[in-house]
Amino acid sequence: MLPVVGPQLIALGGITISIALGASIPVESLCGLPGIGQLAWQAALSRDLPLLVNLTILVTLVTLLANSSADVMIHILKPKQA
Amino acid sequence: MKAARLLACVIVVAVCALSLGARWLAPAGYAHQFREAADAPPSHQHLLGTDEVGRDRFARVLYGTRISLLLAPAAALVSTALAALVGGLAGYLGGIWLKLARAFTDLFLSLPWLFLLITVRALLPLNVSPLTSVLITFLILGLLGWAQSARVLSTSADALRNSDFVLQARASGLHGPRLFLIHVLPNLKPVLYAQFWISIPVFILSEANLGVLGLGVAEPLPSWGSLLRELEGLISFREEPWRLVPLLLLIVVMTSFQILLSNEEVTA
Repeated sequence: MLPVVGPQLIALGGITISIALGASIPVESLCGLPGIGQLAWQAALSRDLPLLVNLTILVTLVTLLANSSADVMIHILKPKQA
Repeated sequence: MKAARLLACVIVVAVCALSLGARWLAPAGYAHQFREAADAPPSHQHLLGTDEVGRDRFARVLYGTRISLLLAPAAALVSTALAALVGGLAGYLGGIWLKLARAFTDLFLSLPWLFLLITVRALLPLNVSPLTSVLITFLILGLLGWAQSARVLSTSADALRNSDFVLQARASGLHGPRLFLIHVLPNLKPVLYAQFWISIPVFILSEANLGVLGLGVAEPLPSWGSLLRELEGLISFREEPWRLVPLLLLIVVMTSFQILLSNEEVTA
């Protein structure tokens, strides 16, 4: 069963990371938790553009890294074709 | 399933009708302050009580619903038009244009949506008049939300370009914008409608997110986002359950939209 659904699950895991990072903005700013989301929120309120742009690029990099590593893992775990 | 869809349809229509009738249901308006009855519990006069400066919560919910439910489709219209322009044209032209447009949309899609939204919102002035803030919020949503739809549209337009009837039209000497407007665009219509309907709940939720963060619609204009923001100071909802009404309304309407959109014709 696991080899069948494995690739999809890994791909889903890669996508979920970007969703989680996006959700961190409202969650962290409303609950008062320090983190990237709260930092981005405060930067937006004080119009700190360099910080915001860099945070956006950082999150993009993490997303790309997650997606690429998911792709690599799928490739490694793929059953060898005879 | 059919009953659920009917119920969802009824809910969406009823909420729209109620919000459009706000002028008659809440004649005092969203900004009038009943100073003598601030922070009041629900009563005959104020169905959902009043907030700390004495504004009628029921009126604010009605007017907020009107703003969110009218402007989210407007933003969806903007984004779908942009997507039709970028995706449709790229798919129709094919070749290097298609590759360029695909690369550009992929780049756009890889940017995190909420981070992008608040970055662009912070680029624009924050202390503007309430009306300008509404326009800015929904224009940003419309102008930034096109990439996903453009991606889908470029694929459909690409398939159309290689189809037999376009080949025949081209063989008959039709080309350029005329071919695009007469043969390609009408055949993209179902996809366009689907993308339009799918965008609406996404934009409603994004507006609510921005509003909660204080980057959306400015006071005293209400919207679902800014109404949710008032929940931040809520100490115990067991004592004041009526304050959760905007949240419940948002959940119910979003669920109804999802049920309506789960139709295969729409999402195809």
